[in-house]
Amino acid sequence: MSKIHIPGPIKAIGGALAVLLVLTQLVVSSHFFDRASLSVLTPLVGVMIILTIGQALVIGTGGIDLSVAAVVTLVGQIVLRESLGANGHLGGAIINCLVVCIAIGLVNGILIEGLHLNALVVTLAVGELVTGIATSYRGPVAHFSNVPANLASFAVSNIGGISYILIISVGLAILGSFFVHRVIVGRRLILASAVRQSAIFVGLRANGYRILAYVLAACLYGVGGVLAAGQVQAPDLSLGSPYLLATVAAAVLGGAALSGGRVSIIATMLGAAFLTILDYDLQVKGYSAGVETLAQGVALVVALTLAFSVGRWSGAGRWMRWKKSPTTKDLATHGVLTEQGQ
Amino acid sequence: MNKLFSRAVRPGFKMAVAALCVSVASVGVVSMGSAGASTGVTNKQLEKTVATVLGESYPISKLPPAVKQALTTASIPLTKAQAKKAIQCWKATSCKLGSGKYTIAMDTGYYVNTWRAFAKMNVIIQALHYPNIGKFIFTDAKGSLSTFESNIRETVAQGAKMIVGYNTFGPAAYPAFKAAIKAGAYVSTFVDPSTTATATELSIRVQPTICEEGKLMAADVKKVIGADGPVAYMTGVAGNTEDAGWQKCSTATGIQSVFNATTTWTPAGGGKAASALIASGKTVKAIMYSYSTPVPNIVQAYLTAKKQIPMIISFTYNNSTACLLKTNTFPLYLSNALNWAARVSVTALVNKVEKKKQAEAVYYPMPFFKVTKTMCTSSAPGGYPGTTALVPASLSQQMLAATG
Repeated sequence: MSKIHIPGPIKAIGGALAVLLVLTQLVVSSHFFDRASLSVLTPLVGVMIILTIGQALVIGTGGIDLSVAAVVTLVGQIVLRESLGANGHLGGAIINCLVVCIAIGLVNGILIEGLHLNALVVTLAVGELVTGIATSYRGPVAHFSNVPANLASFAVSNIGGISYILIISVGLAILGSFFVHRVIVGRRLILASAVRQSAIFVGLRANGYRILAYVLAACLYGVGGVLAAGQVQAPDLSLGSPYLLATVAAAVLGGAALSGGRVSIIATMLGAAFLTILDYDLQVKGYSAGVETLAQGVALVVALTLAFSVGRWSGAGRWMRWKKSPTTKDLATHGVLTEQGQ
Repeated sequence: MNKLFSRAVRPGFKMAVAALCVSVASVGVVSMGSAGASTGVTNKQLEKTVATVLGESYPISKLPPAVKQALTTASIPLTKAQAKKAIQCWKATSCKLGSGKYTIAMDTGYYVNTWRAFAKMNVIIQALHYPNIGKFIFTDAKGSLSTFESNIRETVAQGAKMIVGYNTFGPAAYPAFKAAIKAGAYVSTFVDPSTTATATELSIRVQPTICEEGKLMAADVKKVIGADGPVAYMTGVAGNTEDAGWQKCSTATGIQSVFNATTTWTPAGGGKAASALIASGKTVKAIMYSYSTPVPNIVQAYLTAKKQIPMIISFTYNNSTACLLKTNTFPLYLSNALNWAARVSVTALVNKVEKKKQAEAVYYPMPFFKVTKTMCTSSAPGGYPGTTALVPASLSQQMLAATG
């Protein structure tokens, strides 16, 4: 009977999430698992998961995407204005959102991977650009303040307190995980950033795959934005603001390497859930927004420190073992020997 | 002129003039003796304006002089030409209002919502009543304090003698105001309580008496729920003086708050705070808050959780909040929209530049009224602040139809 292998990041963040859930139920609120509580919490978790998966794909390329908040905000405004608040126009509005997101993803990707500009600067600048477009597009006053009733109704619907948005996000996470681990394009997408030069030498269109990551990420922001707009029902220009750094923090908590080449979509999903529930706990306990931001920062620093320390320790261990008696496997692992032992 | 009268005019003529003044006053004409305000607004017209902005009738005699003066001026109907100019200026960042020698600037921290768009219009239409104001400048710092500071410097450099704005940044903005005052301009904020500012940092504050508002809210809550609590306080951003002020005074009246969450004054933040309140398992009879725009999201959280919506009482007025009562039943109390306070700032600034007597702090009344479903304007968007915003209906329609 083969043993099921659970990757390290999933074990770590899954364990942390389990501990947090127990603490939440015991210390924060004994009503946490009530239907009422779940019905209002799970949509927030769902949106966060979708946006964080997008961010994780970009971080997986060794980049970062600070345009996420602006894209979510713009999508909220497109849903409002293109749908005219009517169900009949919702489909058209969603298609518009998709086209805009693909365009934003392409701009980010081409500037970063095509022109080799710094990801942080480019996505920050594109974010500013998109914010400006959203503000102008909305106009001085919002003509329509409510999303179509069907979208609003869907966004607040749930089964036994579990929001449809969370169910969709989990489905997307499973699909995403299958994509990056089992589909050739998905595997190449991540491997193209593991060791960039090697990827090019073996003939991968590395830049193309990394541009694809930005486009996929922007599309996920679009999906998240539409659902966030439905959940808020009257999205304004602050719709995306909470997700700017929270998605980066959640992706890192999920074990994504900031240098690229390592992403676990399932761990990312757990990281997003962890951060949202932590934020929620602090709010239930009455802590201010400042403390919530502080907690996010602490969680991020701890995750980064642990990831770095564990990497160093395991690296140090391998190095010591190698000093004693380097095996053929060690040499092959470090590229000294090829698999054929040459 | 007085000297001329005393020397050249016979006492009998003076008495006749005095008698004429008394007779004019007896038919109810409000004479403020200021530019644009001495055009025969009757007491009845003023009472109507006061009732419109406050949401209920209020004794004129209790109004502070600057508020009375501003609302008297606001009672004068706009001419067609003025209305056309108002819309043009509202869409622009700079425009000529007339041939007056003064420039008025509106430096805003973040021009982000319909409320602020209506506040901008209030500044413009009030300024149009003063022939000595010739130019209007508008800047938006988009949430950046450094941009806000440089905007103020630029408007002063462009000759702005009067600067009006909603202070998004609190005391952090005082150095910029101080520099503008030092350069010869007068600065007035409206709505936000810049209570810690000295006269060298802020020329005129136009605001409600925050503590009094806390007491008024507490009184309404006690009347409706028939008890001191339990209630939940909702806070905008952590540490803001406005929320701290009314919450402290509400608590001092005996109100029992069992929950307090920050909302960042956004719809999403309001929904999240209400979700946290529901998840805490604490059942409250009332929610007390300082901004009506996120109220629909608070209500939505209760609807999603299938919980009974408690009484909600909040500062400001918002159409989507009023329209909640079309499909839901719960006690809802709101104040007026408050945008009109920008008009008081304009009038007070004119008093300052004309070297007239003007108090540094102008406290306007802010009663809360019970909202009914008939107050919902179905044809207007959710952000519409209603008639209490004191923008004429024809202008409101054009504003709401305007595109970016």
